[in-house]
Amino acid sequence: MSAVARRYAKAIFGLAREQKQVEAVGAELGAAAHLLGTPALAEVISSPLLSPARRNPILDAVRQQLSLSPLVANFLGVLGDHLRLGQLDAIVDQYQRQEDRELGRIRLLIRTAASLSGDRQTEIAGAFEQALRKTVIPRVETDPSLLGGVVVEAEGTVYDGSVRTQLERLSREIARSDTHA
Amino acid sequence: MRHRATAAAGRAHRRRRSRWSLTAGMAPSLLIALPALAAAAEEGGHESGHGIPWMTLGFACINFGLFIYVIFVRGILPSLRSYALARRDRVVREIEEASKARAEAEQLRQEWEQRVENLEREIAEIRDRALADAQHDREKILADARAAAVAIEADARRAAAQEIHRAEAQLRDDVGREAVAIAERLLRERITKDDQHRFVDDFLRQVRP
Repeated sequence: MSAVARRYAKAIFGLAREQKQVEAVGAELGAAAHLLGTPALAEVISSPLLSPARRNPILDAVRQQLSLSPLVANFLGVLGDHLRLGQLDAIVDQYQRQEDRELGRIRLLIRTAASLSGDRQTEIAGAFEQALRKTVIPRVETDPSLLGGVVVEAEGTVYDGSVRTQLERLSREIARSDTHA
Repeated sequence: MRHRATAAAGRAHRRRRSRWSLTAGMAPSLLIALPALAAAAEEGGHESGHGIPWMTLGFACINFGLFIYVIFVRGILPSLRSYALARRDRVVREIEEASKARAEAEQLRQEWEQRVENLEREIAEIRDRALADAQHDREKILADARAAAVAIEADARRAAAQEIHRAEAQLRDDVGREAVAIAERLLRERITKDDQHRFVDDFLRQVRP
């Protein structure tokens, strides 16, 4: 996370909070980042060789496509003028952190060996809401290398209940075991 | 030595001067007495007639004596005397020089004997010292060799122990990896949805406060 991204995120977050549009601006920024992050568009829009006269029509098209608010549209224009569109993902990430902090939310990354049903996802999210006493926003990924169990990452903390980790722990125990003892 | 030679030369010179004074005193006396002796001889001759010519004979004897005196006493004897004196002085000087050389040689001999004696003592001391040093070096080399042997043995034991420990660790690591690989293969083959539910339940029990 660069200092530049933090400064831009802090600036747009302050403006969004003044307009009481924190969540809406966050959603618009996320949508814009998703659209501008497509490989073909990202390569063009972040190129320093692209003149403002050519970049602005693209940003206008994005604004119309996503029905962006003037605040977010102007923010994208500023990023384009300063050749910072390439850091939009980092800015959105930082914005989400500030938004979560502001709204008392926490994002969960739930990794499982096999796909989870919606009930199980809700059950896991509820368990972490109770444990952390915060609203959680879960995101689920399937990772067969875990063999079994669940791994949850929340605010930089990893809660590991995977079979893979247990096997690795067993392997380390075998390696550390002293046959002379 | 030089003082003695100088004194001998002075005595010889005084002797030669006294001889010359005696000769110088006798010569005028003889010259004055010669006419009186000739007249007496002539008177005696006239009185005796045909007897022995004493006057002539006496005169001849005197003349002969003067001749002998002049030739030997004033000519040969001083030369012989001076030669003898010079030879004596030379012999004395040579004897003195020989004595001096002998003394010096004796002193040199004593000095060399002393040196030889000291040299033998020094040789003995050097030999003793060399033997002591050699013994000390030998003991030190042996002690160092023993210490080195002990150190090498300890290093070898330590290296062997480390190697054994490393091999054991490697073996345990291999066994652990192999066990995990086998377990992973079995789990992939045999794990079911129920097992997955059970894993999630176990995880939730640990997360819930």
